[in-house]
Amino acid sequence: MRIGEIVHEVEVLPDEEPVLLPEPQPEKPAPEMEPETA
Amino acid sequence: MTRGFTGEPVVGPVRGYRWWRVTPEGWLESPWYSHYRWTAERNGAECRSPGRRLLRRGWKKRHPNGVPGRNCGCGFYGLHRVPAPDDCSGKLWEMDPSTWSGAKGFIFGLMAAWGTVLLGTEGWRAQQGRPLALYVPLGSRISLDGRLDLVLAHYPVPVISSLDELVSEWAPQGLDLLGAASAA
Repeated sequence: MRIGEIVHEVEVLPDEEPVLLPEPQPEKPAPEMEPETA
Repeated sequence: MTRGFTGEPVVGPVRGYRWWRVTPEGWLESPWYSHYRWTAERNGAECRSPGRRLLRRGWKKRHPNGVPGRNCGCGFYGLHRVPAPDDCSGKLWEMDPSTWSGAKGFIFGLMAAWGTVLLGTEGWRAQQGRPLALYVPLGSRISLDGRLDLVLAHYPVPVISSLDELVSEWAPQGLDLLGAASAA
């Protein structure tokens, strides 16, 4: 069987149950930097 | 010309039309080169090129991403379209499904494919797959001689008696939906 001219190569994922992604967590404020001691 | 690997995975199996040979016990087999016996859930294509073991470096070059190799003929085959009667030149893959599916030892249908897939203008070759749906006209020989019941015991897939219905419900995505046409 001929498939004609090959125009593309792809990676196909099989049928899978949907995977719930974890909800994004609110970003924590960056801790204040302590002044460096000289 | 052969295009490059996209790097973008396509989610969900690719569909394609194909033929199977039916054994007297109701197993589906690849009809052309290998007579590979299909399972219902997962089938992995193998390259049967004799060079695989004898000329391993050359084989690797022809199969940079494994099976199917671009410069080989390996992999499971699927077509984007049902072969039109005008295309049927007597070769196995060009048989007219409305005449030959279920008539003797062959069944036309659809398979789902995944893994590495080489997309061509007329069809594809794939690394893995499974039967998805079968086209068996009413009154066909394999439904009368009991083989269809055996097939369904091995493969729990829909059997559709109308070719139009098969096409309208299960038609392959083709190149456009896979994003190949826009990238080509």
